[in-house]
Parts: sequence; structure tokens; C-alpha cells
Amino acid sequence: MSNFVKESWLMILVSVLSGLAVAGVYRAEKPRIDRNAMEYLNRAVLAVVPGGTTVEPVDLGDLGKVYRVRDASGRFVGWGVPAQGPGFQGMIRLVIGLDPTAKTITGITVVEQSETPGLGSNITRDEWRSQFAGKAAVGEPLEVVKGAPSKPYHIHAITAATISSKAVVSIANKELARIRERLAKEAGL
Amino acid sequence: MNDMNLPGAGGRFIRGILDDNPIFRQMLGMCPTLAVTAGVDTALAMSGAVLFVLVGSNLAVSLLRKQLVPHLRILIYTLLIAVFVTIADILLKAHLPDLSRALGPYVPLIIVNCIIIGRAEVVAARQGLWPSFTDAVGQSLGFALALLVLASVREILGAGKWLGIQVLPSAFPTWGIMLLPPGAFISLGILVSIVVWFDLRQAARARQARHAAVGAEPASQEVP
Repeated sequence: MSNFVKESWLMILVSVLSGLAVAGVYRAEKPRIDRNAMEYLNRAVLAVVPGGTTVEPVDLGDLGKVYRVRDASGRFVGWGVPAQGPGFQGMIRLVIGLDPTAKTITGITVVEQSETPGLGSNITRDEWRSQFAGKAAVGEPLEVVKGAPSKPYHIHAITAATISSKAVVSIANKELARIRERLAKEAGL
Repeated sequence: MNDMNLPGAGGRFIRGILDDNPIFRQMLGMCPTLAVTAGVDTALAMSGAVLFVLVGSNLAVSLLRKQLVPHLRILIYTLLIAVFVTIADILLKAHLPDLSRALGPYVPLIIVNCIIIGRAEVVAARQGLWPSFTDAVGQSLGFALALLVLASVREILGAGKWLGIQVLPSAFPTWGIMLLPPGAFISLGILVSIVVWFDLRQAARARQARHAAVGAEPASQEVP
């Protein structure tokens, strides 16, 4: 036992001090980290709801959290709906913007993805994402097409990244099917 | 453990940058080198994190070097490195959230970066605080230099940009592959070859100069 202490006192001491150091830094920086995460999400929500300036979280119970967006005068201008699902390589997390009645998509943004850089990662580019704005959130679900879009619900696939394009569209479709009616009801209240 | 032949503080600093460059000479830390050099911004953030961790771990190990028990020393190094890496990760998340997001798992992975534990064993466990500190700074600068060169090549050719600023005319057909893993391997291979070629040429010249000085013919069995 005394041999154990003689050999390992330093290890024990360093372990305790290490734990304290990490805990101290984490405690000091936690509020900032949380604020960063919230700001990041708010920025994403505001990016998909035109005219919005403030974001307030709304808890829908088992349907999860959505974000109600208001403009500078306090008028309710739309919803930010987080959604996620598998992409080509990892999880894709989106925020879908909807108008107050949840009938029209106002925009879509990718908050997290690990698609192939230069190909699938193009799902984050404005040129591609801008197709979603103005699409109907009711009726025919969105559909990815390789050629020129001929129907209002068509989304043009990114060249050489059809899987990533389809993944985004399918995540959006699933989330809309799941949550749209509830949002419409919520907006009526 | 105080070896009189060990390089001093100044020598440690200079060697880290070129002669013992962690990437081009020691071939250590290849994982972050390949993974975070698609852009100059992530390369710089990674270099900063490595500087912080290496200075911290070298100083801590040097401070404890007289108390280290041989068969427990690696445990202590690993623990100390892990502490500094975790702190670096938390600080990046709190103060540079966008870069932290871009670096992903590669900041926590500094824990297994051989440069750090290598310096603990080679320098900090044998030398005092000052040489350990200059060694950490020198090695980090060497690492930063290598990452910066690699990231510049990849970002300029792959995206036409440097640190996010357009440097090539937009008509330039960017080589998308440079941003992908193959681009990392190809660029690193070419850069290391250039360094080795340069070395061999310099060594050959030094040999010629020496032979000329003593008036002897170059030994024929020497490899060119």
C-alpha cells in the first residue's frame, strides 16, 4: 500500500487538479457556449423567414420544438422548423421556414452536414436552396428531378449529388408531413 | 536525466521550425495535417490550438519532470495533454464557434497527436522550463508553417481563394479534388518531395564543398 502511494501520488494529484481545471473552465464558459448555440440557431431561423427579427421557441410536446418568428413591430411572420435525417455520409440538420399558416415554404437552410465537400456540400449554397422558397407545403410532396423542373413541386438535383439533394428533400417532406397540421392549428389560436 | 549534449533553448526553437519540422521531417501529426487543410482559416485555428496545448503540456511536464516515475510517465503525459486539449476545445467553442464547428472532431483529436507526446518525452521530461517552452513554440511554428503551406495550395487551387478572399480569376476552373482527401494526400506528397529534394541537393553541395576544401576526389561509393 505504501508502495502504491509512493509511486502514484503524483498521478492522483494531477488527476484531481486536472478535473478541477477542466470543470472550472467549463463552468466559466458554459453560458457563452449555450449562447453561441442559441445564436447560431436563431440566425438560421431568421435566414429562412424573410422579415423576421425575433425568434421565440414554442414547445409542441411530443412533436418537439419549433420557433415562432416575429418582425420588428411584433407581427407574427412565420415559423422556423428544425428537421434532421440521414444524408449521404452523416446527419443533415435543416431549418425549414414556413409562412404563419404553414402553407408555403419561405426558405430552407442547412445548419449541419457532412456531405462530400465540393459535391454534396453544395446543398448549403444559396443557388440551390433558393429553389425551396415559395414552394407549397401542402398537397404534392416535393420531388427531386434531374432535368429542368416542370412541376411546381419539383426541385432540381445538384449535379453529381443526387443522393444529398434527395436527402434534404426527403427530410423536409417528412418533417412537413409530421408537423404542418399542428402548426396551422397553432397559428389559428 | 540532464544530458549536456541536449540542445539549449535557442536551438530547440530554431530546430522546430525547419530542421526538425514536425510535418516535413518527423512526419508526425499527419491526421490533422490532412484533415483540416482544406482551408487556411481552419489550418490557422488548428495551429493555434496546437500551440496552446503544446506550450501547456511541455511546461507542465517539465515542471513535474523530477517527480516522474518511469512506468507511469506516459499516463501523466496523456492526462496533462488531455486537460489542455479539453480546455482548448471549450475555449474555441465559446469564443470562435464557427471555426470550432468547422474543425469538428479534430480539436479533441489533438490528444492523440504524436507531436505533443513526442515533445513531452524528448524535451520536457529532460529539460527545464525555458527550453521546454521555446521548443513548444518552435515546434508549433513549424507545424503552423507546414499547415499553412498545405492549406494555401489546397484552398487556392481547390476554391480559388485564400483565407476566403478570391485570389484567382473566377474563370479559373477550380480543382475540386484539392478540397477532398485525395487532394490532401497528393499535395502533402508533393510538398514533402520538394523538401527532401532540396535537402539532398544541399547535402550534395556541402559534400562537394568539403571535398574541394581538402582537395580530395568525391568518394565514388557515395550515393548521389
